[in-house]
Amino acid sequence: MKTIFSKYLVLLTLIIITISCKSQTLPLNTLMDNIPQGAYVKDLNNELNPYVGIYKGNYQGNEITLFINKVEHKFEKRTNKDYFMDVLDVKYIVKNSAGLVLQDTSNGNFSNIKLYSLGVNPEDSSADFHYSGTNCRVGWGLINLKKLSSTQLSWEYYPNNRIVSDATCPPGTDTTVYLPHTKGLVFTKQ
Amino acid sequence: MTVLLSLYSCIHEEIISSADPSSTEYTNKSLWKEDETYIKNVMQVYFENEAEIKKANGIPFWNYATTVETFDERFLMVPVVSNNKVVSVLQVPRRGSKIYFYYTYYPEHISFFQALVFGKHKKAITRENSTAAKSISCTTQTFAIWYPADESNPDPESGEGSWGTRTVVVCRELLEDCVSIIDEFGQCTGGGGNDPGYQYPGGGSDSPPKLPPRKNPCEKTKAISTDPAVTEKVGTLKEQSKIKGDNSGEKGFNVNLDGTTGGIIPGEKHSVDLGSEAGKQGGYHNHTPDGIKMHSPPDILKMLNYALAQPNGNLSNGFLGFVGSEKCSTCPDGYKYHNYIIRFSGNSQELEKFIFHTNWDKDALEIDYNNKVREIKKNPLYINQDKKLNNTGLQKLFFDTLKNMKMEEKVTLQKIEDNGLVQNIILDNAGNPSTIQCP
Repeated sequence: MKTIFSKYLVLLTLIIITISCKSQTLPLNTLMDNIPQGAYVKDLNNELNPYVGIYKGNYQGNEITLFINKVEHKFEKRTNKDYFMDVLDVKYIVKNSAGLVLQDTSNGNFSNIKLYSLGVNPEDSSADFHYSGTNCRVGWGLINLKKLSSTQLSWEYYPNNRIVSDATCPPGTDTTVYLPHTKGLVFTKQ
Repeated sequence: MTVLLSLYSCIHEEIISSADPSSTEYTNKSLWKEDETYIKNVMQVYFENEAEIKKANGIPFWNYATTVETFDERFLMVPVVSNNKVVSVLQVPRRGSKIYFYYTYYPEHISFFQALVFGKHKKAITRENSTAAKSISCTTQTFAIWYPADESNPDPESGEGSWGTRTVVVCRELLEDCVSIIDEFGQCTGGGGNDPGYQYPGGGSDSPPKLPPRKNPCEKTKAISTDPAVTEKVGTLKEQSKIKGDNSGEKGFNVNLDGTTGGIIPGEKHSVDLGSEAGKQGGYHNHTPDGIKMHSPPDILKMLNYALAQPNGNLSNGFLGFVGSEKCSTCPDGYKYHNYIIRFSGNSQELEKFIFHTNWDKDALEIDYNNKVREIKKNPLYINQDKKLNNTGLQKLFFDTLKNMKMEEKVTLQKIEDNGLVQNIILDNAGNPSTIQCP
């Protein structure tokens, strides 16, 4: 009798834990203030899927290849809370006209450089991306990718400004931003 | 300016006095001639009122007190030591017949005394300025300390190593500007309440020099915005902020403690190095055409370091400004300018918390900022016809950022109009940005 009671108690505890641990699921574009700690901001309507793919564009002699992948349940560490979110994660390779690689974040060598979506804009079929900037977070800002067709994206990059110092950015660090600082650059799906 | 450096011949090789540091007897162990009358009188007051005065751990090492080249019974600073470390610096200014004790925690002061008290080989350096007249009277103490390359032979006469220097600067006018209404954190309380001063046994009935009244944030920023040298350099930054394409980029300049301006510092396409904040009131830089026309989290953190660099706890003297521009068909020269200054308005404990005791995740701060930009842009109240953030939207972005950094009401935001007029930007009762014109 005592053993059966103990089993029920364990089962009941597990059920309570399961219920309490199930995080709240919210749609993309939920305002940051409305996202509770531990919640899941999910791509409920598959709005991220049309962007997935490999895209190429050319700017001032450089060839830029974007590798856009959908990452589900990405852990988001923010200033005052942590939660999970479905995002478009972008890795890129920038080559010059001679084919020399200027920057390649697809090979895992630049874990400090982050480029991923913050949300979508259904009104103009675009998505906004956070770009951490290159080394020393120089060039951090927003990037907007707008779907022109099923195979073309239009690129807009809005870099912010940064005061650096020897302490935060050792002299000699390559702080060149290789991503194209321009608007209306067309990328074509490969 | 010709700066002559001469070295005292003797090299001090003793470590701290073996005498009881808490002794009420005084023997000068600093490297300089000190105002011993003032030190002894202050010690007398301290020991008579120690229970009341003592607000921090540690023991004042009075033998290492320095009056920093002042000999008119007006000021001293003494290291407070706990477990063989200088943990704070007790500063004791006099105004009239009263003296005031307050504990300070400025890293440069602590580093100065740590080397002075515990350094083995050290020598004073006298610094003589050929130009004595300055707008602010600052006195300096500098000494050299020997860093042996090999600890087994630490003697500078025979061993390898190098000399490093430690300096402390005290600016008298700034100090006297505030001492009568200063609290234990080195902050001006704004007057009122009980005078926290102690009667000075030396009398000191002489009245202090006539000083200008303490400036409020409006006056401080007006002094900057109307300074011709600043105006000229801000003009350069305004032009820089318009440039698009390959010549686009950041520039900046600093304003020194004495009010003079440094030269224009050329930067890179998306960054500028304004250098150390030491000896500076503040700095200015431009935002580029595609950058957000508002102070960002890294700007706010930079401003905190300017606040920290202000002498004698006048934290709000420190500032950071930026200039940005956007095309505007109805504006006089075809451009609308965004010229904002920020200052720290909290106390020194809060400043320490934000600089030294907050583990900022800078990535997270910048993601939050970008996220907030896109959220605010979706509200038609906060954008202009070009779908860029308007003034209210930019100001809301700033206050939301302060909230995210838990710095609400700890940073002052001021807008400088093209005609030099200054506005304080505050949040009204409904939480919306509101403008108060400075007189």
